[in-house]
Amino acid sequence: MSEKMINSNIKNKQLLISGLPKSGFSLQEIQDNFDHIKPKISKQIKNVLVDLTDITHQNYSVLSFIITLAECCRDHNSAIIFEKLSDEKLGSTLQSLGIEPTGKITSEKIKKKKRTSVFETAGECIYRICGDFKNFAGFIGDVVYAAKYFITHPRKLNYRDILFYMDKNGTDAIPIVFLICFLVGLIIAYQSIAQLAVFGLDIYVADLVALTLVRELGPLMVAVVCIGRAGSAYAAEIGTMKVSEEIDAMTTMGIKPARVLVIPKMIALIVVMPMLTMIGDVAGIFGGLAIGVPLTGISFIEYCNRTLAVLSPATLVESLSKGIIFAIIIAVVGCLRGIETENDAKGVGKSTTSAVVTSILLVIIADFIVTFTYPQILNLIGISY
Amino acid sequence: MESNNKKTVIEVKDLTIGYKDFVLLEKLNFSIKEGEIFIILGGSGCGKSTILKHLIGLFKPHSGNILINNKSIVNCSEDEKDKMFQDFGVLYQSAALFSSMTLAENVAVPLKEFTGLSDKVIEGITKMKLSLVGLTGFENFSPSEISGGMKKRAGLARAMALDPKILFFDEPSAGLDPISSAELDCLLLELRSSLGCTMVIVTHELDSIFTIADKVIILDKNTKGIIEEGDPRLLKKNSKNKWVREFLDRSNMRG
Repeated sequence: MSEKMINSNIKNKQLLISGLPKSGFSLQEIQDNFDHIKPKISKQIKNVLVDLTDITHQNYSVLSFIITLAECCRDHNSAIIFEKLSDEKLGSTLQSLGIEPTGKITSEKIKKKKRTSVFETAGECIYRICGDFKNFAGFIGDVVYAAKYFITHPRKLNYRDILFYMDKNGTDAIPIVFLICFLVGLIIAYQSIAQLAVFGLDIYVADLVALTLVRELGPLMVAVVCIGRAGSAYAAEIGTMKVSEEIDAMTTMGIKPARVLVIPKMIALIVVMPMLTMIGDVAGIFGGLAIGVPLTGISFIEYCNRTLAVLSPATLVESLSKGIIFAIIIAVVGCLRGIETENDAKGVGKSTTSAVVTSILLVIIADFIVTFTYPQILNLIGISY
Repeated sequence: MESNNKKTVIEVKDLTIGYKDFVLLEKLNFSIKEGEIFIILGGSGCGKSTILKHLIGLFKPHSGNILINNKSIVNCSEDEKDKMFQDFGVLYQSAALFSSMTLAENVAVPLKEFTGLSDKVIEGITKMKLSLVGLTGFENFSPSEISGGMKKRAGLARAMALDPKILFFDEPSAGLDPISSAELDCLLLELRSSLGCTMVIVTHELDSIFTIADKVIILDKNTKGIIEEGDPRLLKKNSKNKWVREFLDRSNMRG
């Protein structure tokens, strides 16, 4: 127990506190004194009288103690009343902290922590989702408006930026896309051979790898790479511009951020992602071939023939369409999250993470929708899948 | 100095601003005359920069109206607002230069966006604007290669690219050493006398205020409004508000 213990006596349902040290408390002494007084504050105590003799507004440690005490009194519905308040500035300091010199808690600065109910949390969540959706819809409107502007004013488009992003997000991504898809093809082939061989169907590994890669995994793997490389970079780049007021500067120069920042990035990704998807598809097929030929005993030529036979033009169109759809999703989400960045140090990190997570979610949902609707559309127009 | 005959370029009527449900300032009324250097002053967190962002149309107020050259920036369409943006220039606290461009390219952005001028003419105008702020020879430098004071001056050159009649400044002296800050003040006075610009400045720098201001408004976060308005030199001596006198008199304590 520390040396500076204050006096506290209960008299007529009132707790009298005196002997607050002029020289202040150490941090530990605040805790010790509070622990000593806290049990005495109960619902039976109507008033807590605090003697402020010789205490000035510069006794910061005593002020910390008084704030703690005031909060405790509020929790027990007791009034805290200050006596012998000699320093005028101490009164105003207490007021600015939300405590009237009479002891009433005036402002909402010291707010009672409310327990949030499940309904409240659910309501807040729905409200946030609605807000997100509203922002998303507004942003899509801006992007469509900007796209319309460039259709009528193609010369205003910044082709240098488009080429820059095509190079950065396309050319630079080729090695990683090739490697990932090659390995995925290899893994799919290895796993399926083990299963198909049981029924003696291991010759079908070529069909399986080709269809899985071209229809599903090729576009998805490329999307994952592009989310990591392009989507997050878009969010971080635009977010940093937001924090350094560059977006505000653009707006007050009458320049639409959607026009200058979003459209070039979007066009670049829409152009390069189908190309990367093609490269990924080919790499995956090679991966399957690299393990399928030695393990199943079919010849290289036969493997290639089976692959080509199973890949119809409709399948290739599906792969490329997915590439384009995913490109739009990644660019829009990356740029939207960048523009939504909050103006603080955490903002950019938060928007980058959010861009990646939202993009992955939306890409998977889009993949699901396209996979199920594409055969129906082909049926409607009479093309075999 | 202020003249009553001069026309009002900015008029703020019953403006209430804040963030979401929180009201920062309410029922503000003031007007800014043509050619005036008007300073928005107040303690930290009283809403100086926020009011500036409302004046330039970046934020929407809770209620009230802001008229710039008799046109409302609050109740106008996006297209009308884009046109109004061409009537004024803004220098941000961080200068907000586009980091991927050189200084010359930064200054050329509004010229390329809003004028049909050829690249050669734009190059000439850009060089002139940069020389006006004392940055001749720095045209091909990127913002990361120059000092804070130079960034502010480059930002000013960009804000003046379209020869606007109104310039807004958000803490122009923040982060500058006293000499650079005094140089910037001289530059602002020069620009006002040569171009006749109206300037609206948010600042804390008392030395700057007494050097350049024609009129100040002093905001207070407790009363959520304007507590004083007028010539800072007179307010320092005659203000009825003790806090205002103390606030403005700090320059004497330093000197």
